Amino acid sequence: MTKCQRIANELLATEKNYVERLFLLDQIFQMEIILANSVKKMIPEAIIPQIFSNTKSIYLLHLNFLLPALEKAIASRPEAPNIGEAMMKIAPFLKMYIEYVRNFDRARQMLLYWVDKSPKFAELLEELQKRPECGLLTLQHHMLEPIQRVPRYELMLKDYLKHLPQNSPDRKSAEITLKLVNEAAQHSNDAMRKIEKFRSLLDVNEKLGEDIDLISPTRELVKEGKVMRVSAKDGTLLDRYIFLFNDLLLVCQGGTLTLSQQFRIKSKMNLDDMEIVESNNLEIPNTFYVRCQKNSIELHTSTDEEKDEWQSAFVRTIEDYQSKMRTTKRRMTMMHPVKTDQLGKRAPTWVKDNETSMCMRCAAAFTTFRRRHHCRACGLVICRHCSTHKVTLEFSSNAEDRVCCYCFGVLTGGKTTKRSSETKRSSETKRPNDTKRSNDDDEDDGVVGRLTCVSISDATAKVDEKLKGGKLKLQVRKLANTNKNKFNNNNNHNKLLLL
Amino acid sequence: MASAAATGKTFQFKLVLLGESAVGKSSLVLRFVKGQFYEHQESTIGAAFLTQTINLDDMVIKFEIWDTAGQERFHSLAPMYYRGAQAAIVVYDITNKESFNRAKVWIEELQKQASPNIVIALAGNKNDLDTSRTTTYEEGSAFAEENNLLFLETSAKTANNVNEIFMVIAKKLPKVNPTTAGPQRAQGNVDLNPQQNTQSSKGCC
Repeated sequence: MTKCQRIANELLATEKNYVERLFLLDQIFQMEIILANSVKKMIPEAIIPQIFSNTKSIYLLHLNFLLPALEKAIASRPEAPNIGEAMMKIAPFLKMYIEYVRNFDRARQMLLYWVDKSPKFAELLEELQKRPECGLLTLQHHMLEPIQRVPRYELMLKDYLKHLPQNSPDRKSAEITLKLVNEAAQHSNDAMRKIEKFRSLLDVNEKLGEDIDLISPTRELVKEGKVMRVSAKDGTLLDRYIFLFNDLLLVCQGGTLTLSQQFRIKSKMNLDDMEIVESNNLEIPNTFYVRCQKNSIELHTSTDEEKDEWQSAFVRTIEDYQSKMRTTKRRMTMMHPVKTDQLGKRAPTWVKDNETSMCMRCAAAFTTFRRRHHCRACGLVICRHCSTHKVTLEFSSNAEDRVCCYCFGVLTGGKTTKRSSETKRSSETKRPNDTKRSNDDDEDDGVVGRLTCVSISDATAKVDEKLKGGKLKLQVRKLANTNKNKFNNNNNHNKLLLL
Repeated sequence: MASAAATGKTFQFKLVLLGESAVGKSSLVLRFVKGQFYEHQESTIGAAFLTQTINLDDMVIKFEIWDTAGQERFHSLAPMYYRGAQAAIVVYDITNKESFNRAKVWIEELQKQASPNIVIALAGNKNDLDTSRTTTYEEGSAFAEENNLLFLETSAKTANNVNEIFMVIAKKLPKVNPTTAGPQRAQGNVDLNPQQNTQSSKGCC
């Protein structure tokens, strides 16, 4: 029997064994607990999936796919089974272990908690664990098994590859499989690491009490520890405990206000513009400056090595953070609002109310009576007269909402846009001036510039309503007519109207 | 800023940047608003809107800045942006003669069509590239004097004169009572006329 054969057989044997264990976990423990719980409530129903996580999926994967695949491979070619090929298709699914691994700690805690709290539940477990197939092991032991299974595949595949003849047809598949299994294992490890990091963040959060909320999905604790701060005033050394996160530095003072709060934040520094500067302190050794826009502090460590460690941690973290921020800032500086072809398809960033004092379309100043509105398509702040229309917007699941005159034009297919405000303005304030201008050929362009988008007929109609005086009406009509000629020339520009 | 706000009034002005494409309008704004500079600034599409506040004596001046696209295909949009503007910066590139000629055309257009009392500043940008200069300082300043414009040579890259040009504009802008100034708005801390108080009248829809 070759070495490879032996490995294949071991793989199959352990797999059979493993499936039995999974059967035990899923079909016996989980089922029995669900059954007993439905007859008489011992623990809340929601707890059961928290204990068993995705055991069932794992069980079915091994029972229905991996085990038959291995059996088939060995049965078809007992002298040189193609293990790599058999496992290749299933290996990507080993990533489902990540959920199990992630949940494992919590599951264990839950189990302990409820065994302690519900005597009936403890009794049931005791009874189940006495069964012969449990082999005198507790549920906790069995739950550990899936955790160890993936690394074991990894080891066996490595061994298998080592002993596989160079020219074996299975070599390539086995290599791919090993890579996939590796990935799955790595995946689980990464998940574990992430959870650990998050947990340490929670710990720090607790230590600091109510002072600050540190919980954020991207924040990680990089380094913490005791350092001295050199008082800026008189150079005395102050005991400090600092937390360096990937985006923030907290300088804290020990001392308990309440039991849970171990530290008080003395200063909080952002990594945005932080720099580390070598100290010029001649009296105290091992000091360096941490500077940011709002603050500059001098830190002191007891040894040279410690100082080096801290400094390099600082420099690395600051560099990381600032390079990350550069990329986001870069995007932030492309501040043009939504592009024409994206209009209505993408939600705009609204211009803040207090950022503008006048309508961003017609430049009329906002007052108590001329209030601010937002165009839902481009996000600009506009007045009522520039936002008389509603249009269905793709990005807000085709809901109808207020848009400005320009977006209305663009969104309704470059049709002429209506700007009652313009007409009103021209009739109210600009009238004498504009009418005069419309008679003057040289200055005509200016009026057209202002009125490019007015739908002429609509404008006149509205003005008709507004103004009863025959003379006024006449003047406005005259104005509208001059515009009509120009308007045709400018029509093609409408498509270009952005913003 | 807090002390200035406590003693002085806040004035808000609309300012528009005009000029040929690639003369550095967006770079000037970016330098002024965020203190940043990008060697490869993308060309602006349509226009961009930013705000920045500066302190002048005991006043707070808030600029609503419209940074327009310089490319010719966006020219037809320009009137929309300089409408109602109380200030404009017309930018040219001192290493590009054509952009200076274009700046003259812009100034002509502004004088004809923008608000009559608009404050116009002419900015000869990229003065860090003095060696490849095609428009002399004298040319620029003579034209500015003729047309009664503010004039400075700037560099968004080195930040030379960038804040200064906004500062001289802020100084020249008439700080008048909003009631008489049409779209112009200014507001004090203590507002005796609640109608004019933007803070109280803000809020969308």
